[in-house]
Amino acid sequence: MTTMSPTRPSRPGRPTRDTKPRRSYSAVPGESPGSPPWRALKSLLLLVCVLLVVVPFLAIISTSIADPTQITKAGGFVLWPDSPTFDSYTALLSGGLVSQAMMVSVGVTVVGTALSLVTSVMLAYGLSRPGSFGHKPVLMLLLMSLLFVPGVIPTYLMVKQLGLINSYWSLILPTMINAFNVIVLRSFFMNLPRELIDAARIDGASEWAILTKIVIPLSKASIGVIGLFYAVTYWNAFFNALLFMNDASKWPMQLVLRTYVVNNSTLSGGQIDVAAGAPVPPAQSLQAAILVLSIVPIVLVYPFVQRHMNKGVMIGAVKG
Amino acid sequence: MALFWFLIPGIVALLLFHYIPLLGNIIAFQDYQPFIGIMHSPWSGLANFDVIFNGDDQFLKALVNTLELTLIQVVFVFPVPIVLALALNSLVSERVKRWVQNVLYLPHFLSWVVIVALFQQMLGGTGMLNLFLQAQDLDTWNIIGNPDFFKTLITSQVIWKDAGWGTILFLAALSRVDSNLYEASAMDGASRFRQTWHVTLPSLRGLVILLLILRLGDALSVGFEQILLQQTAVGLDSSEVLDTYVFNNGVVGGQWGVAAAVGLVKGVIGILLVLGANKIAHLFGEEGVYRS
Amino acid sequence: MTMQPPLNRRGFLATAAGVGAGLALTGCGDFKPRPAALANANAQLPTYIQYKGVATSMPATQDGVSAGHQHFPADPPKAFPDGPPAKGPDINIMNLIFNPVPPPVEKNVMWQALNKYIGCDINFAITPVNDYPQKFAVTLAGGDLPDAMLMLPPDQNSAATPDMLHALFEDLTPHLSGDNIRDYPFLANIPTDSWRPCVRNGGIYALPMPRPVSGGPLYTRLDLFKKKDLDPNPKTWREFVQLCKDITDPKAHQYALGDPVTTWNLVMQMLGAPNWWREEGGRFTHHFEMEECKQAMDAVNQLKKAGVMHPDAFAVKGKFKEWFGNGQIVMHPDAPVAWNDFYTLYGPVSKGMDIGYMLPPDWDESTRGGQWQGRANYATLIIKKAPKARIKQILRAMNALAAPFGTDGYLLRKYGVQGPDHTLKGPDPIPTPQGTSETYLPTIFATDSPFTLYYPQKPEIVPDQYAFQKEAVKKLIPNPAEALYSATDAKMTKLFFATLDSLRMGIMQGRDSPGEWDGAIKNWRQKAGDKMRAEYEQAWEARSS
Repeated sequence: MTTMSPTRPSRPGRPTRDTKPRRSYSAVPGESPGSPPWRALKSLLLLVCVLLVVVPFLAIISTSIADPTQITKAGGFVLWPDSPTFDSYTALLSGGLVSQAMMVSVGVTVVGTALSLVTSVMLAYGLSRPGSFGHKPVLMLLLMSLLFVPGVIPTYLMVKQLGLINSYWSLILPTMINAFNVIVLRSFFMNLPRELIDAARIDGASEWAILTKIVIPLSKASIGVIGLFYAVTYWNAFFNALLFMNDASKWPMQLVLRTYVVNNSTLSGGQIDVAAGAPVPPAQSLQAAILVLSIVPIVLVYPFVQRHMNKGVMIGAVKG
Repeated sequence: MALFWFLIPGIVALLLFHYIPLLGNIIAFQDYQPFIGIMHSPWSGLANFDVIFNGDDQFLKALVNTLELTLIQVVFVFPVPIVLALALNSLVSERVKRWVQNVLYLPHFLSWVVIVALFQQMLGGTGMLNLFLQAQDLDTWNIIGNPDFFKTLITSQVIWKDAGWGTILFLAALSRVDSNLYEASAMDGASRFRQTWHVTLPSLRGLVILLLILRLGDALSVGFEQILLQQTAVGLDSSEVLDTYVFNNGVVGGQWGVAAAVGLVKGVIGILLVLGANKIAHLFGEEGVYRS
Repeated sequence: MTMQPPLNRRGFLATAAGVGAGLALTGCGDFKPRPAALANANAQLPTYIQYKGVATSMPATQDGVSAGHQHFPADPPKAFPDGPPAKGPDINIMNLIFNPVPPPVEKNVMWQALNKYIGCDINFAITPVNDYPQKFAVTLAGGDLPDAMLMLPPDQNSAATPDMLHALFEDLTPHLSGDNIRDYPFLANIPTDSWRPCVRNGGIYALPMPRPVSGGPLYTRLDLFKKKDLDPNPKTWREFVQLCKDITDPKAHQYALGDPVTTWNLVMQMLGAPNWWREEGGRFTHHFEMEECKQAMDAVNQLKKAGVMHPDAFAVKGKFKEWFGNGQIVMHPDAPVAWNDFYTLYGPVSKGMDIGYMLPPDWDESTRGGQWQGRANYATLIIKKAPKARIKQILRAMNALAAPFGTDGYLLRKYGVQGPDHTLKGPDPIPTPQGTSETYLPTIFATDSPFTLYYPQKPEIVPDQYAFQKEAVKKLIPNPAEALYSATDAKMTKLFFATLDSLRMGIMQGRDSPGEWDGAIKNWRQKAGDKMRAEYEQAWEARSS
């Protein structure tokens, strides 16, 4: 089997331009950091970006713990709570529905992501070898599925035909394969060093062994990212639950969130609204609190993926 | 042949939940009534395609707006995550890099309703910006309700929401760049920009082209919910896009056939764009989405 | 290598046909919609028998004033002294919700008590209101119907066709028409106006979800008017504009009005313009086609130019109630139920909040203002075809959900169980936080008792509410098309509404020229308006005969 030249540990002491001796190499290999004015500009840019995100999120969090008087006076979000209170969170979590919805979301996301990853990795690997059996038509099938989207009613009928109405599987199976993710994953697989795989094949390794022993270990970063994409898709989905779950106690978080935040927001004013007597929306602090609750769990996933990202470097280091 | 078995689970899922339901799009040629079903709904020929081909003013405006927005987004939105990813990637401190990244991708998790509300509170007539201007005795600045700013507003919202999220794929790709290449180029005394140009960017090229091609397939869909929420403020002339047009004309009125018809046409155009772009990519020696 | 389709084509189509077959509910022949006259044929309405179990000095009246009560009876009469009225299998109801969903039944004391009170389990399949039309259509297509479903009026839900009702839902006429309704005394207590839209195909096909026909007032923030020493009692449009100018104070972020659409409605009512449609000698005219429409758009534009409308009035949706609550606007037209909501939600925040009401003033000495009649129902409840005994059980359960004000059934429905859901202040229930979220259970979107003016937290406002309704019903302008069905309206209204609404907003804002309106209306007439008119005229004739 061919051995690739190892990239790590890098040979110490070799001088590079534009870097201080203290850090002749950044923790991960990459471009050298650049000249001071460039670095200052870059830092400033990133700082502005971070502030543009942090301030609104601070406002959301502040609103979730602010007192209603302050919120009404501010007319929406507040930047800093005068007298913080966790009433909104207690109210939400004591009802039972929110904590249940959280469990549903976590369960669907975990099981769904696992299933999606297994099927997608297999599909992407199967399609990553040009000329393999059925490769072209299946690829085309995949691509077309991005562009032609089935209607709501036929999808509902299919789910119903399979007896999945009101079953958690209806939140997983219809969205299990995402063509975009598979295509991206396939392109990552195609960039793997050919020689490794060819050599393994010559050695008589089965395709399954090649996939599990070589391709997957080498692609932790990309698989992690695609897994994240799937996880976020499952986490954010509400529409299938809306159609397929009749029982509100089986709703995922996003659908519950929708009844707090989105509901009624696109209805136009005027006659219909007035006649209907649309009730006042739930308190802003409740809306903000449930928003925070719906974001926190999924946000915790990314750092785990990040950890793998920096291991991509090991590509060259794997030996047969 | 052994590899084909790997495809089976994926194919089954695609067929069951995508292609068989897709056959339901036959209602594009029907006056479909949900309670009667596909089998008994009356056929209507190409009547549902009328909205597309009869040159309706409103439809043409929607088409133009859609294409304009797509163009703006490809030019101004698409590169942002790449630039951000490059900037992040060149950060020295791994800790800072992770933190910044973790912050930047947060807005992706907010729904449009919330983002629109946030923007309104910042930029609206009684938003923070204008209250500040008012307090300084300056003229207030109408951004939210101004049709001239609409596309800018929409675009900046998209950037705010998804730029950080978009970096993830590029960062994953960057983490795979063989560090030998950097070392080698540094040895050769390559400047910072030359490194970016000769080492970093080429490593992203395949992915960038792939994503661009896929984006083209989506050229006729821009920001449905986002725009729907903000349409009344500026009027349909400047804000109607194909998806909202279909919603306003099809789904709202229960015209399922019309919605399906527009979906079919969008799909056909999408596939033409993708195949065309793929061909062009091949001419430049790129892999593109796939190679036949 | 050649392509080997994973599933051969015939198998593929057969599977697909299997999906299709699931769709086919009517067995034979191709579908042809029934003509307007047949769809709108008349039926004998239920006899109105008012419930008189609880006395009040503010009784409901024949012309549509809701009853008012300052206090709950100290000893609420039992709605069903003989025990639960609807024992039997579960009843599944599909409906919608504006609020957050309530806790599930096993954690919801009020829901459990309700099931016990009715005698069977009532299961609600709830959908957020925005998504309901889609869910409704999908459920119809799927064919697995719940026992009862909420049906939005046709202009908001094109799937609500008379043919669909005929094919899938029970004609309740034998149970409810005329004196038959005596079996369901609380349903009989629902005013006749609310039953009219339940009639289709010459039968009673639905139960009402009654709303007061008085419509809502133009709410005013009396406390803020008082601060400026103003009396919000304009007699004409001119005085109204002056009042708006006097009360507006941009430095204090205080403006007269918010929502442009309801402001336009208000001006239309000042002009005495029709409530959607006008019927004269059997001929129908839409208010969009009338001079008054253009006049009202111009009037709103003048208000905008005068700077009396909130700077975000045209840019922001769904903030108007909040602006009224925090005093950024001082006048706001809204539904009758909003009166209590304002006090509940914004009372604690806006200290000294005092809400008054106004009816649309006259335009001038010669053009008298009117009050648009409110829809008599929010929506209606339709019941799946079933054996007679089952239908009777469901009707008994719905009768229980219509138990009127003062009964123990009403108290349970609106305020839950004493202790966890509400505490008593004298005889009056004051909701606890748990009670508020539990009573989000959307029983009001199944059916309901007639609207009653009652606010336990602040009983002193009820006489005002009653006085408003008494004044309002004297100048009501009804919508003659409300109870009728026009296929074209159902299919096309929304379609044109998007365009016309956008143009109307544009003209009111001064973005579009008022001259464009005529062209848009001409287009509307050609493509939809004239057909709607014809259908409504036929329907009117069929219904009147």
